[in-house]
Amino acid sequence: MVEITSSHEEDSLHGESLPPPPDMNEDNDVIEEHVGGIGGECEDIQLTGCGASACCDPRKGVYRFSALFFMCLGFGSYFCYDTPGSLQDQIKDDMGVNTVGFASLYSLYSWPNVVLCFIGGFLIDRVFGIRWGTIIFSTLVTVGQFIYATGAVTNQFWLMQTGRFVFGVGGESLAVAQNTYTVSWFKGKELNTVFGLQLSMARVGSTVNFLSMGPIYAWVDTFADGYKTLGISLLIAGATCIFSLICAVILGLLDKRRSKVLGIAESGEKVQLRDILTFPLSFWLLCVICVSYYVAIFPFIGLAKVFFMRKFDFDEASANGVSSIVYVISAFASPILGYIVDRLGRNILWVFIAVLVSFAPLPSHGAMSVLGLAYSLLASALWPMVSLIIPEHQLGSAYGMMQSIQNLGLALISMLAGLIVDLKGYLVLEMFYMIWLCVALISTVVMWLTDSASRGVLNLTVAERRNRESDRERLLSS
Amino acid sequence: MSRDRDEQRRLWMRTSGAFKCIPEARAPWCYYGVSPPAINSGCTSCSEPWVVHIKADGKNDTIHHIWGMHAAPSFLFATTDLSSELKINWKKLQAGEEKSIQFDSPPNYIFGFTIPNLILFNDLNDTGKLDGIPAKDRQVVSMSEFEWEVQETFNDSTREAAVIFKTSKFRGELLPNDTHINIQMAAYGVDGRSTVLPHLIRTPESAQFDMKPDYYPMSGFAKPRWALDVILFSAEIADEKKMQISKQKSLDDENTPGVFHLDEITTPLTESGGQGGYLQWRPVSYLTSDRDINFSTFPNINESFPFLKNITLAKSSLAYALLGEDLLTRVTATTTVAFGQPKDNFYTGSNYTTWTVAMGQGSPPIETFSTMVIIVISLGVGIPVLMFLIGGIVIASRRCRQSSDQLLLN
Repeated sequence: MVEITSSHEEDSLHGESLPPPPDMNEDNDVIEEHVGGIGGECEDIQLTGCGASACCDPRKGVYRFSALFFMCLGFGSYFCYDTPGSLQDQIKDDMGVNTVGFASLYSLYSWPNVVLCFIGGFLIDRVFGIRWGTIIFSTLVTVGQFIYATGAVTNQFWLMQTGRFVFGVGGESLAVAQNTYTVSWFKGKELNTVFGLQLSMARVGSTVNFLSMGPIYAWVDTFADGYKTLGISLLIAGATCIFSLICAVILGLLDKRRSKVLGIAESGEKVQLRDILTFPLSFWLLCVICVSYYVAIFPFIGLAKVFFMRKFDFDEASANGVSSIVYVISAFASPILGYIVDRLGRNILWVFIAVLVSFAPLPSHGAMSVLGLAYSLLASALWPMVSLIIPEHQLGSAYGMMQSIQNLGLALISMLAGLIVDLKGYLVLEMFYMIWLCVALISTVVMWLTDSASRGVLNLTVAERRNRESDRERLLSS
Repeated sequence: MSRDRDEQRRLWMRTSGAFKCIPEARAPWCYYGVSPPAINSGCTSCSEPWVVHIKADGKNDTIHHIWGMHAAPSFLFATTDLSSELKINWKKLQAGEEKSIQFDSPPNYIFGFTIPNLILFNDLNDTGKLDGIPAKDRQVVSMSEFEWEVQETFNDSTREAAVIFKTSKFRGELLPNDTHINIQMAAYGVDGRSTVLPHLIRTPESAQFDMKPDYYPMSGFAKPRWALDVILFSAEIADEKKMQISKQKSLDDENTPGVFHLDEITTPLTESGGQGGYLQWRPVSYLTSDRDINFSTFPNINESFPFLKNITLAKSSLAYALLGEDLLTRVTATTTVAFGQPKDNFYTGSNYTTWTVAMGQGSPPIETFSTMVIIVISLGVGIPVLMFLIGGIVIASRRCRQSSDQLLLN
């Protein structure tokens, strides 16, 4: 659950703690206008029979909430994303690969997404449309997972790597599609709640994976042997992708009916490449904090299981349990902490506290719990800051850029982390992560100082920001 | 400056009594000058490396590293006075008589180990351990059935000397080129660390044993593993005290990635703070020649360490040639080391295993953090504190300035 978590996380946070990107707003505004324009006609559509009942009427909340279930279409990709992490030892033993080879299963997910973050939304918007886009990306995720599993069944590691690459091509864009659906269906209604729920879903997906794959492998091991055990276990995990694909198809049908009845056009994200050149220094500092903090956390979680087994003599189940603490905690804490940061403001202070407590030298369970809270706090406080420093019409590009840098960092650092473990051991790996945390900390302080010097809004309370805004408006009007 | 240092050195030598390279008080000038290996010196009819002798001269004693590959491979060191020379009665040695190897004056200390048998076993339960394996699933091969040759010798000035031994024949038949057991022994004269994984620590009074069975045929068993019969011996007079094993765990795996444990066997004399003997190793056996931790297994040592009771087991070793029947009255230990852990695909999965052990005199060397690790930890603690202070001071001073500006405005 390394890179995808972060990137999915980031996607989810768009809506969880922030207003959605401006492009999306603009689109939706346009859509709303269109709806308004033809709305009268729509309102006049008379539904009859079953179609008129609350659960089949897109104008009713029940219809919307029934679709919410199918919007968990990301579950398959969240679940399967972390199958290498939860079966790390088995993959290394059964396939005979070293840590570098193993870590490539994660970096092969990240690499395509260094670029796809820019173009995923574009493809959905302009080429496929939201419905087909979702189905196509969901299919790619499913096909990728089955190629990956087939690689294990046939003892071909290159095929597993290919599968992860295909899985990655679909995975991140599927998250964009999921966000687009969410914005399209819930904007102006329960958008933040739904994004919060989806963030928790990502965590639940990976946690369930961490807790279940060990026992599934052990069960398959009773009737199969070696790499075949691994392959069959991964095929079973692939069932979640089929579930997601079915969700995508049903959601497509529900959305088609909704669009037909309400007369809604499709929405989506746009990325404007040229805008990134005009971003201020504090945005780039945010990128540095984001990448340096995330590379200190997620590659570690990917390698944590074997680390806990070797260093603390944990058995496999306990090691998996400890590794998943970060996700379990963030599943519960992210929405709560996001809500708190939204209410209190002072984002830099929260980021500073989050980075600082990540240094805490605690025993395994304590360290992972603190890391879970710190990560949730950082994610909740960091991503919203982009909307405070970047003009609304550039927000999409800003988030795309930040996510790409993060994916680039995660891809490189995951490989490097594998190399360090093999050549210099886990202690040096910890030192390496500590250096990244130091970079995050220094960047946070520099941002704090520059913001404070330029009388910026990043570390103000919500009330102060509101006052500043109203002062500005007063000045402008006078 | 250097004169001061020499003076200090002389003073230290005068005040320290017996000049010993004690790890806790090790000084930079504490070293032993290691001689090139002398193979079968004085023997006219030795086809195998019966006795390899390396002298390591210290300030006031000499460590004789003596290794022999005929019959039971034996590896030992004996500490003598500086003037004492090794004397081998080749006729008696080849006839298997006791005390065929002597010194001019009796040695102050002897410590070493010998491997009388190789044990092949069928590990049906995939535990990696020899315990509970029935006799029908064990095949004991006497090491005297192998013939050995010297493959290579190394001599790095006076700091290090090494010999690589390789099996050439088994039961009189030539072994195929890719099937052999390989043992590399090295004697060291200075502090340092082995350049080969698991990067064990060297001391000026230590040697290193590194064994690699490569493509050793393991026919007959479905789930084959191998083990060694090992006899540890010393010159210490036996009372109730036995050799002790200690298994330490550290935070540091910088030198041996992925291995946090360090195992040691010490003699009663070392335990009581004296200059006894020790064996020290990282509990890891690599399964590939590039020594990748991802392809490794575990050396499982039997820790009961009973004294040697039957001299027959040791008769074909250099321990008997040196100490004879006296071995039964000295501190000894018999044990087995089996190589394997569950799910490592057994020996045939890789057809390669390593076992690396450091052997030396005095207290086993202590693992410490490297300078790089200490610097990074210091930075890791220092930078957050520094950032906290700088941030606090800058913001506080800015607020003070703002409030004083406000006052002035008012």
